[in-house]
Amino acid sequence: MALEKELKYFQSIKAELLKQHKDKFALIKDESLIGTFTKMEEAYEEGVKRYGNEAFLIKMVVEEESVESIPSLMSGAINAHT
Amino acid sequence: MPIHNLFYLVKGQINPNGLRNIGPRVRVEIQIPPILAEYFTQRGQPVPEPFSGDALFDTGASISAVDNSAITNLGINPMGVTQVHTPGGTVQQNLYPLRFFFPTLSNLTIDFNAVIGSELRSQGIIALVGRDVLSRCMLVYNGLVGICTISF
Repeated sequence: MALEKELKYFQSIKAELLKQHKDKFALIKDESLIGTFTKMEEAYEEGVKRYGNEAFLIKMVVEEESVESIPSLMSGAINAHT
Repeated sequence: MPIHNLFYLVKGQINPNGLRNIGPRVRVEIQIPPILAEYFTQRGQPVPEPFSGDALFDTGASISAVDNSAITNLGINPMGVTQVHTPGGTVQQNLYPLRFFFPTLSNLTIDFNAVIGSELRSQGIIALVGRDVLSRCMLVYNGLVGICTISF
């Protein structure tokens, strides 16, 4: 899966981020925290400015991440893509 | 706040079975975000053409999804990861920054939307519009008449 490295890095710094950047959006590329932003759109704009159409990770800094649900995917009628 | 009534015809007439058979659908264009389009334009690179098809309103979905072919055709890379319930447990799935443009809903544009990729085309659709988008509108499903009313 793409962004595996970024996700692993986010998990490793999450506790620190929660102390000062809770509810903000962290922008991560490879194993670097580029910054935190109030809105996801702002983080995306910065990501595109720096990396264009390359993959980068934007993750909200929250203690417990919500889990999305699409019952039509769960029934197997539609296949999810990782 | 424009109000749109979506009719589903059977043999040229409004019929409850029209809506029942295909569900509440509407034409949609999947586009790359304007910020990325601007990035391509500034570098003299071609901006990918919008990907058109039908979208299905899905009140059961907490997040919207687009068909994998749209993601491939637009050549867009992921900008996030989210957890999604599946029959086998919770899995991580990529999120893609895509723009929804609805030409038959007064050119309504959902400017920034993080969606997941799925196999949808076998269902005759290219997008599932979930509650992340529906949270911005009113949706009335009138199964008795076969009309769906939506207002943004």
